Amino acid sequence: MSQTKPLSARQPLEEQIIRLLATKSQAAITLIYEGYGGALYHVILKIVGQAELAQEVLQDSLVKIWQNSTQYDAGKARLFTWMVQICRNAAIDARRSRRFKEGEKTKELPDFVSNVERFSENQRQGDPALRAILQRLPEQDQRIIELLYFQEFTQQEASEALGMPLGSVKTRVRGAIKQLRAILGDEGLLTSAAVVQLIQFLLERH
Amino acid sequence: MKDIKTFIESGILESYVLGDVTAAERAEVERMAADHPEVREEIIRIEETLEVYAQLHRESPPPGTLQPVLERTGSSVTPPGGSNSSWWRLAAVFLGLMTLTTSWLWLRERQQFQELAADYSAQVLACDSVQQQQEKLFAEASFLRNPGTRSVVMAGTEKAPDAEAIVFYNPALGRAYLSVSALPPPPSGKQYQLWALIGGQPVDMGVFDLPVTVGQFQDIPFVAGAEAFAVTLEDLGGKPTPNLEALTVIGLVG
Repeated sequence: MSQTKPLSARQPLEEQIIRLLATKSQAAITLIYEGYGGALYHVILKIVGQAELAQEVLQDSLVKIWQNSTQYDAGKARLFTWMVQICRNAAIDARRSRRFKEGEKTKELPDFVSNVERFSENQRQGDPALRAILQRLPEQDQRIIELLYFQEFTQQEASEALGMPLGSVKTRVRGAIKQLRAILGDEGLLTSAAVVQLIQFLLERH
Repeated sequence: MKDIKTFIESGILESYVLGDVTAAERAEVERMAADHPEVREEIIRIEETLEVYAQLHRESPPPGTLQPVLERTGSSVTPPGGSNSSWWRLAAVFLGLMTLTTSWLWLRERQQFQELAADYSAQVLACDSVQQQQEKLFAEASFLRNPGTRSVVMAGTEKAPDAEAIVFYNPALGRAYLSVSALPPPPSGKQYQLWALIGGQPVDMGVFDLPVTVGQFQDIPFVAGAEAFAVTLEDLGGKPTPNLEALTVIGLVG
């Protein structure tokens, strides 16, 4: 087997976790946390905006992943897709409940100015791989992925907020993900070897 | 018959991966995916793209995030986590005891203190073993993530169709592990033995017992050039050549 095996074949870590979940071994939780915890935490944190709440939501989500593991169908989705959906839904609920408590009325579009500030911050202290991707991904593509993946907007809500038809939103998303895929492929990030190397590198940096 | 290309270009697959579809749309996507490999592949590619993108943005959760999750999902084992709490409990009880002054009470205190001290030691030991187990798991995860790590899944034979075990090996690191997912307990007097098939010949990799925790890594010798791995059920202590009648699981490399 060569090192450029495509990512479509399940990585050993994902396979191992799926097996351990099937036998209800708690080692699955530790492996999930170790391999995916940071990515899941980031998605949750972007949506809820507070570290303490994000930690709670992550913990609740991990418990839910554990409890609902029999509902995961490995034939229908990758493990991460299933887990991130659980985390996003939990984060969206937490965010809405907090907004309700604090009496906020409207859901605001994330201020793209502050996004740009964060972007340059990423450039200063983010890791080189992420910087390279963000530099190459057009702003509008970043924005739509940001809205739908890292924020709590559904496509319907994004279409209203951005003032464009739902069909256009769907087309934009497809375009953005295609573009992102092309860039990631160029950067060699879509092979299993590269991904695990990257994750290792990121983990060691802490 | 729906035009597959139009279907893929509509963006519905992206919506599906994002979880932003109605029940009817979900059913349609899954039907199309079941019938058409190109749809299935496209879904996987979209998933991979978003997964890698999310991993690029990863940030560490605050320390101490994992432990409460393990406690909440724990089964029969009483988690010692919060050795802090047992320390405070011990300290509180000890302080309470110290306020008593009569020698009769002092004798009883001594006995209670000894019991508490024994309980505390047991808690500390249990804490250590949980810590050790976690460290072991982190090391396992690290090995699994290593780019040179390969896996060979050994699937069950007719004797044990649901049996499964995996060999993980890394030629660059020269390390290999056996991970037992599901093997029936061996009858008394028998033991499982692992073999590597090299150059058409079975090579003994040693006997092993079922792990305490499912999937737990067990060290095995690293051998280069294995074409297959297999497990047979042999007499205690194993045999120099495998009894192929008792082949339990087997998997091919590559």
